[in-house]
Amino acid sequence: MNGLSRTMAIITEEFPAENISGMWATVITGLVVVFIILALLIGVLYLLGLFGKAMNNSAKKKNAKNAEKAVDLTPAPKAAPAVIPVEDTAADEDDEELIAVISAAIAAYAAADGTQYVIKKIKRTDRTTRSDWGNVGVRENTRPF
Amino acid sequence: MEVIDVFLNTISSIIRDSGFLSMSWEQAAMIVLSFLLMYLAIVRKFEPLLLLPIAFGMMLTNIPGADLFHPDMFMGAEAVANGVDYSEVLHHGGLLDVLYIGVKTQIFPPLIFLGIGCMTDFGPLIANPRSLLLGAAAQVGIFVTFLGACLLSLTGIDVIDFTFKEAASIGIIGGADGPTAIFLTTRLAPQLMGSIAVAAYSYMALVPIIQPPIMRALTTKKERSVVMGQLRTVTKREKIIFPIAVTVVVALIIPDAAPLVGMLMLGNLFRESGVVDRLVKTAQNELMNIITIMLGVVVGATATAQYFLTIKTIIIVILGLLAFCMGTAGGVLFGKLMYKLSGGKINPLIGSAGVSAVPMAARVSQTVAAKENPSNFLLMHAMGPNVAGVIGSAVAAGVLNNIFG
Repeated sequence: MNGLSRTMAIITEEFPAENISGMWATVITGLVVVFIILALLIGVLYLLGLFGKAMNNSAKKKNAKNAEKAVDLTPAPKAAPAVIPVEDTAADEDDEELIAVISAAIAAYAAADGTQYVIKKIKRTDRTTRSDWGNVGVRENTRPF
Repeated sequence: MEVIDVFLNTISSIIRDSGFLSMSWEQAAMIVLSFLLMYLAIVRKFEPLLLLPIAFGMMLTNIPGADLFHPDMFMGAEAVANGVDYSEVLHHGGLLDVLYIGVKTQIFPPLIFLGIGCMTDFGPLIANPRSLLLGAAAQVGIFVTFLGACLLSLTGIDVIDFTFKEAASIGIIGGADGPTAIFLTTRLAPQLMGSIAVAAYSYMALVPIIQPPIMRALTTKKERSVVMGQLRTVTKREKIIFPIAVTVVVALIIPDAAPLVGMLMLGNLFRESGVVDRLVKTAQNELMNIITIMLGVVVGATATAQYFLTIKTIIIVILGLLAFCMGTAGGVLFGKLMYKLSGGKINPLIGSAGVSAVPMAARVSQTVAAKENPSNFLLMHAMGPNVAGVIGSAVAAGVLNNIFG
């Protein structure tokens, strides 16, 4: 930015009155260039998303294979596990990450409790209302106003 | 008797050299204005991290005889014609003259961006790339204000006869991004630095007051009530590639935007890589705080009575407000377009967050939406356009720098 490698400015007139068309050109060029660059970035992000999905799928397949191997090697559980109905998602059956998080939370609870649980169903109760924890989160994030 | 003479001469010399006798009314007015800004920063919490050092710098620079800052070294006719004589600055400059080199050479704003990059989560933007369009739409404020300043100049009235470079620097206030405004103004119109910095940071603090009426006026209750779907999870790999990809794309197309975007993305790469925790902590804490202190004080110091107490400052304050309003309106109107095109899945309120002001503008979107439906949680959706606005305003600054720099 020290001027050593810079080319001349595109508009060299000092005052808008000397170059009225330059004034309009700046507005149009500026907006168009900003939109084009950010639109290009959208394309980059979509490619990134596709790349991420592809990598995730291959990782999932690898994990599934490993899990199959692990199941073959694990002995059957001794005690009959307790059954706990968990209320959460119905529409997002494919949201495996959410299920994994819920399962992990129950497993952590179970480890402390000493009881084994089997998750039979995950069902969302109501999408329009927020839990108390959710409301606290919203309040925390918007407190300055 | 000799002792008494020396004593009286010394006292009279101190009185003669004191600032009280040599102070002009303009300097006194600037000092009073600095007190007002300090009040706004301390009591009203208006962007105190920057407004407080700016206000104090303004006070210091207007104390006659202190010689902390010599604006003519950087903005005088000779400096403009032949460039700044840094040897003169280092040999005869005051404390603030030496610190101002960091602003003049455009080092401080990119370093601030480094810290901002370390603190910014681009996840919501990566999860919803269309947010970038809202970040672009909100930059309308920059160009509309540029146009406004140019049109004022066309009236031929002397006191509002802005040059192209000054109009571009005034327009960048609409980017709602302090470091970007300082970055561009340093290059194009350093004589307006004080006015533009004060206007930019004051309006950024007023975002929660300026934006909601515009957002409500441009949207219907139905649009404001839209509950947006959950954002997808973004992988760590995507977050790592994102800053590299953005830097390559933006810097290759607009090299003038590279210092700001490059540093922003370097900071973000530090954060997302997870392997340089020490650097992240330094960049977002110690480094950023040190630069903030120096930047704030010297930017305030540029607000000398000679350059600040002009009709142009009043016009800049008015145009700055126009810039914020137009940026907000541009974002919301584009949000409405996306609402229509998406079949009502996008809440247009997230568009207003496209003016940078991170995370204040996103919080405003959340607050306005929550007034219609308290269970509507728009914050993360609004963070996408909000961080896109940072990139958008840096790109806009790069374009203006390219055209007029």
